[in-house]
Amino acid sequence: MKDSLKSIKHIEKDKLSEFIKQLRKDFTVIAPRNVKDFVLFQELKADEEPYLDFLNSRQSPKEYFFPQTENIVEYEGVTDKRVPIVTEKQMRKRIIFGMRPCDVTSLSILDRLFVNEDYVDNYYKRLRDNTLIFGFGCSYPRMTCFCTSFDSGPFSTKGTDVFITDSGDTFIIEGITEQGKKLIEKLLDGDKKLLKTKSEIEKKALDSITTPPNVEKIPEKLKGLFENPVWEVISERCLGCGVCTYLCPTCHCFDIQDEVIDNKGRRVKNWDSCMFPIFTLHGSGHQPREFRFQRMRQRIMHKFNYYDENFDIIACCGCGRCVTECPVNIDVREILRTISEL
Amino acid sequence: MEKIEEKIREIAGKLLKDKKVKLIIGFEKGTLPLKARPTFVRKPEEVEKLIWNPFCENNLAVYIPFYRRYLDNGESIGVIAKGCDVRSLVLHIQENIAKREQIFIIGIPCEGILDRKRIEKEAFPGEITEASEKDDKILVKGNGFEKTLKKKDFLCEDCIVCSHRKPVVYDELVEGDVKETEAADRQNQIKEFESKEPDERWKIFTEEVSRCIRCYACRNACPACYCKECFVDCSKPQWLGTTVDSETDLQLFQIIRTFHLAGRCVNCGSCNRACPMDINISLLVNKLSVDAKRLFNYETGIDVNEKPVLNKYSEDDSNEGFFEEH
Amino acid sequence: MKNPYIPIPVKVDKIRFETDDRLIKTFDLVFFDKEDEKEFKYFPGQFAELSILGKGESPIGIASSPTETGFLRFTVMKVGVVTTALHNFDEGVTMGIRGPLGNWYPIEEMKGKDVVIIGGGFAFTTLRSLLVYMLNEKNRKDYGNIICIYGARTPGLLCYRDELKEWEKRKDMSLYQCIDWKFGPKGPVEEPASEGWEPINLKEPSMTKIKPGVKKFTAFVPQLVSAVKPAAKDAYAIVCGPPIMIKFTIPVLTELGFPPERIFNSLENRMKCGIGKCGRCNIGPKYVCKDGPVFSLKELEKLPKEY
Repeated sequence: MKDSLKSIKHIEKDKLSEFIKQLRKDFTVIAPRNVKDFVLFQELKADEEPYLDFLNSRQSPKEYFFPQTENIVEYEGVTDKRVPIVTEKQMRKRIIFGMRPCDVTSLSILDRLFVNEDYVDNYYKRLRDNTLIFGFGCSYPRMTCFCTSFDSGPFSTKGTDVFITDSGDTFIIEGITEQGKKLIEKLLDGDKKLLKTKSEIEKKALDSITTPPNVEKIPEKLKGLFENPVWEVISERCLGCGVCTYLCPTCHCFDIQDEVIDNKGRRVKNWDSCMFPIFTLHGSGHQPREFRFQRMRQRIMHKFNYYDENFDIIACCGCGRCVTECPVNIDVREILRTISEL
Repeated sequence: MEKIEEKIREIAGKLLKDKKVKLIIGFEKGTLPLKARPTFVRKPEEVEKLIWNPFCENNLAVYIPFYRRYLDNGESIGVIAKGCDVRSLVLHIQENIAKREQIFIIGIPCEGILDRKRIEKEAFPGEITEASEKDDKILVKGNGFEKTLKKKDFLCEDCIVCSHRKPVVYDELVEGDVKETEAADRQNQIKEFESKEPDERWKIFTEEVSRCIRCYACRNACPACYCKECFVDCSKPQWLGTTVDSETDLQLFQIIRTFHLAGRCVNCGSCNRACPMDINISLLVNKLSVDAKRLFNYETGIDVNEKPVLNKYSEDDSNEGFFEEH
Repeated sequence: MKNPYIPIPVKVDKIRFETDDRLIKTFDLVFFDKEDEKEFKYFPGQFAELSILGKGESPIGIASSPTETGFLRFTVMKVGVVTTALHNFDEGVTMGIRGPLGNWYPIEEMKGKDVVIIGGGFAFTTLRSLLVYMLNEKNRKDYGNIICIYGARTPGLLCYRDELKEWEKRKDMSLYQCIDWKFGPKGPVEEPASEGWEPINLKEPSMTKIKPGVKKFTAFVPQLVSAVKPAAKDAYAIVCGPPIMIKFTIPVLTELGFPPERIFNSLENRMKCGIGKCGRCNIGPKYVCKDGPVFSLKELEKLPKEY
């Protein structure tokens, strides 16, 4: 008991910026910022304070591990003589401060794809290895949140190095990993009372997530549904844009492009979306997923069946961003319920 | 509102019973407080889900190009269309996407669509968990807050200066009286931006566009964007880079799309509402609409027998911008 | 850790036109660094991403066999940006290669068994790799009878014609070739398309009486398979070709008695990363680049019909 108490700290809200200033000496701190009345995770500048009053960021912080545009390699010279220039640049360690448990879960989902015994994506691994996660409990889960469907919850500390709970005028800070514990050593000690406060806030939060879809049987259910006409119904209003995939913390499809200006060039990875028609367009002109329902089916099957079959985990963390931002209000929770009732 | 909904269901039910159309595109209740969403009814009993309210923010004409297989078969499609939707449908007819007799327009005189994003900001950083509208007010509730807002204070920018709230063409018109605004109002609306120095305008534009994540929600929500191969997807030649770390690529995407909409945009504002990064997408194209009116006395999507403005030429067309006299 | 996205530099050593329509060329690539060559251990059926910095990459099946040292052979059709750039290269040019990628033909499983290789058009490239591998003097005794059935639209579109002539003469394999019928104004024309290509029984291909020594026919590949009637007992069939050829060949093989676990296909799909991360080439839960491109019919039957 004493040991676990040793890693409980707390900090008054008005002392937070001092703490962050200390962190910024050794780390780049990326935290929620208010951008035109919505929140994005961005690098904190100078004495800036993180905007911690937020529910969740508009875009997930996956871009800090899997950037939307990322250089694979640079090169120069003429086409028939080019060689890749591989430079290993030193990177400054980073802290993602204030990451919600759903987004933290998404990282452990992406880990299984990008870093496995088949091949290791060095770019992802490097960013992952050089980043510490300061998780932040959700005292007020959104109406559209359903993280509890996925072995997680508004106060799940899984995957974090440090976990922060907002308890009114203080932040309760728990060290989860050794690295995390070291960073909070110098903060004020906490006590059992703080843990109790945290569990009260946690209970209230859990109670507010009233109807999360039950996804346990979904992967199995989906196995027999490939030819089912339900996909045409679900996808009829889909516009075929990429909002759901780009905002989703677990979507990982990317494109590889070459860009050359004069004599210098680079090969880049760019986010791509299976919802775009040209995603699977063959050079020969053959198009296996010509219709929207085929692409919608691919997206849902991939997240809730194929990924589970390959990596033993569903590729969704219940953050609800696709629900709030879809221009035509396609609701994945509704889709999951429809599937489970088939 | 209820009267309009009843009328919509009545008209739609009859159309489907008489098998005059294969499909009717309308709106149904969404799963979020401030949202109505597109829906598709094919059987008379399904019309009960059709609704109409100021949250019906999508331009339903965007779905017409998806139903080529019905149209090619000679079938008809019904659309529950507000003022701007109707004009988009007219544009489709002008551009031969569909024949007039194949689109059954159920016209709704529209009082304007509510700007969901602006309403949501009233609750920021919290969220709105309940919303209802009655007469000229909207009641929003969230976690520990409740507010009554005046509808007219939260209309979409484009709706405030809409010049064709009443459908310009229809097969059936649902009754309702709406006041049209003067087209000049749009000119007033852009005046502030227009009067700024070019450098400042560029700064405002580039700052907006710097948030773009190339999700193409704006393009896909736009009824005028229906090209089978969009210029951004073309690789031979690669007109535009696909990365987001090139400011030029982000700016060019918006600028080129804007010019592809010259004389074709009906200023419905769907692009702005679809953008997940809250970018003012229609900032530039609004000016092109004003120019079309000023230079060629042209408004998009009014007459099914007309041609789009850039498809015709007359000798007394304005030469402004082409031949400047110094 | 080796970065799987970085191409290894290679030199284009030899280029030649492979087909008469001049749309297909064969490239022999040589590693600059002998270490890279040693590390590039591959098996018949695998592919590599041919990488041209500045243009892009193209996944191409490896046509050379691992028994042929010192070079890697690729047969490439000019289709898009990358393959066009490749076709415009001269010998001596530097480019890149990533690989070997994917899985390979079941060369271990097939040991001691008869092998029937069926190819159409220029999809024959990885089959060449398999054939050369099995015919190699070190490996030949490991395999039973080898029958190869290879067809193209016209004689000029057959690949590796100089090697085909060699294989025709071999006693340790049987090579059957075919070319499409010519279509006249009233339908298929039964006369041979050119000297030396025998017709088959069009109405009932399996009833064709193959005269001894006759190995060249005017037929579609599935029909020639019907006519040749390769024995299915303890035999494996490896089929590579355009989708329509595969579609009609599979039923013929099934009727001859080949079970789904002994019929193998090499699939194609649009690819980018080639290592199962970019999410593009999947058929159901399998990535064609990583879990394939070689799949048995039995495996394919479990996957959704999406290609």
